[in-house]
Amino acid sequence: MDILTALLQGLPGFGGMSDQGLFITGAAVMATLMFTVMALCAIVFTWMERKVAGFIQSRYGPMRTGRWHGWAQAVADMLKILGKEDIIPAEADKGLFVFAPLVVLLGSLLAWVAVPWAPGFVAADLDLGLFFIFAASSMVVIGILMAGWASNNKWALYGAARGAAQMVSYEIPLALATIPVIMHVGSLNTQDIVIAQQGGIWHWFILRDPFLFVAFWMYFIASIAETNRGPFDMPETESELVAGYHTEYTGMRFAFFFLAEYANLFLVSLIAVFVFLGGWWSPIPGLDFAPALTFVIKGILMVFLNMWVRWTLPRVRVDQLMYLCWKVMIPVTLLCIVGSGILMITSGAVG
Amino acid sequence: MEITLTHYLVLAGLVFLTGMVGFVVRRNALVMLMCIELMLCAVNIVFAAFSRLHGDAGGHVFVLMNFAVAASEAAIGLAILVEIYRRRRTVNVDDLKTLME
Amino acid sequence: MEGLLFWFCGSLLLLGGVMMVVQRSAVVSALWLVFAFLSAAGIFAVLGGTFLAVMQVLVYAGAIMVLFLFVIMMLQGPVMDGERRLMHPALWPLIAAPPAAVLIMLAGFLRGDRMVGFAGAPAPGFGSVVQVATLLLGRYLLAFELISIILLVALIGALAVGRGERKLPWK
Repeated sequence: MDILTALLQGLPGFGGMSDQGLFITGAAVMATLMFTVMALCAIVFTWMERKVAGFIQSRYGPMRTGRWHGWAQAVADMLKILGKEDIIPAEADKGLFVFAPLVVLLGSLLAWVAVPWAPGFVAADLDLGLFFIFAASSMVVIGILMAGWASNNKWALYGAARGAAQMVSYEIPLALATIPVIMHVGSLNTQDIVIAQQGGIWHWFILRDPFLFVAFWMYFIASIAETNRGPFDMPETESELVAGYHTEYTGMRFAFFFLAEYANLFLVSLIAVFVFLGGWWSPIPGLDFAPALTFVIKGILMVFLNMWVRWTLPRVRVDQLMYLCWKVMIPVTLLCIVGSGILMITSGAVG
Repeated sequence: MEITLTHYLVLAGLVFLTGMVGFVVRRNALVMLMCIELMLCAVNIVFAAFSRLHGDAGGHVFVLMNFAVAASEAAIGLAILVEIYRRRRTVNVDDLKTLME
Repeated sequence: MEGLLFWFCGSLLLLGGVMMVVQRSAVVSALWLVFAFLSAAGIFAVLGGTFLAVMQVLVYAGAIMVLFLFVIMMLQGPVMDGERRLMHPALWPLIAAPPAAVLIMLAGFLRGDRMVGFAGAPAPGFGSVVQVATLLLGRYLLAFELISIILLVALIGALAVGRGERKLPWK
């Protein structure tokens, strides 16, 4: 934000602007940028998802649209979705039905505000950065419950109830797994967290101590469940519930859910990158010539890992899902916090 | 006009009043529990406002305590309501008057 | 700026509260309450408690209200029979009287000379996570530990009550 306002001041025609005007312009530019990145990542990741799925299942995936490996397939799909008829079921609660996709989208958009793309380049440099991200993304659950209820469809309601139970449960190990890192940094600010990992791959938090290594994998498992993707895609199991909470949605409103899903996928991957995998720092010290690019490439690699898991493992049952969360992951993450704290004290990092 | 402590207190009073009226008027035990949450929220605003007046974050600590109390209250209250619903098939407080008769 | 935000968040908070009481459907009531809690988070932020504001969103909107919505959706249809009809008109004045009295009292406070203003802007770092954490693990350590016992009791209590007729594993 600061860099952006400084940049705007340098442009001809912006020099005479007041501070407030600059702030508002900067915020508008940032918001547009974020939304574009979000929409782009939905398009790129649907194509990538189909290609990865094809690769894992020994087939090609989309090959025709746009000549080179079907790169335009996702664009065509998006256009098709936007052209579809907008249907609101007659028995649905209309107000809530229309409002729910917006709440879901808002929850995932708000969280993007605190993502540190490059040194000084973050939409809002909040002291509570990481905490704010978790709070904002907890709004998504409300939107999902609204969608399931407003559809007035039992499959949608089951999907929403499963989704809410799953997301509320997995939020706990997700947040707990990042606490050892926060203890090391001593700040919740996302910029500070990345700056603390300077100096090559051995300074990234994933390799700092064994407990942090475990915490990273706990975070990774919880993030898969948090985005409702396989093997934890209970809210939309095609074989049990038609399509989960967005069964009744079509056209633009469905596109919102779709957009939010992929935005969330990229968001949790980016959080994993800046909390555990060194953010914008390259693995070899001194090679940091393109911080934002490094950050995004690492994020895409994390998304790939996510897709790999999704297309490799079979779906779990609901009771196994809850067992894993409450009886395995939460105790393990708590152990990580205690163990990491003891290591910090014995190594003399804190007094 | 400058915003003073009184503004916050009056706002909190109005919110508390809304919750209180709702608690009396509504017959759905679930909504009555929600009204209690709203009243607790009004109390939290008073804590935060006085904290600001004295420049002491102690009030914020008590709001955090209040969050924990509200969460416990919601958890137990909802568990009791689910159990009542299992036995009586209703959560309407007008129908739950076994002790009165 | 503070005034503008106060009026904005305050009126939204009141709107959310009133709509929660007025709506017949329990689910819609709960969603209006979520709205009210989000506005309350705005009020906390205006008061300098940014940590509180984020906590409010995380705990209330993200956890407690999800629990409420979950239970409402599990238990019943949109509107209960008992709430389809209005209350008996003879009861209306009885319910309206105490709030009216309180409102008149509150109006008395709003006279200019009785208002208590804040002494300037809050100090830098007021309500930050560092300050609250220092207090929580320092001056209020005992209360902090006791809260964990309350939460534990609530956890076990909810499990014991919600267990229903199922047998306990050790019986």
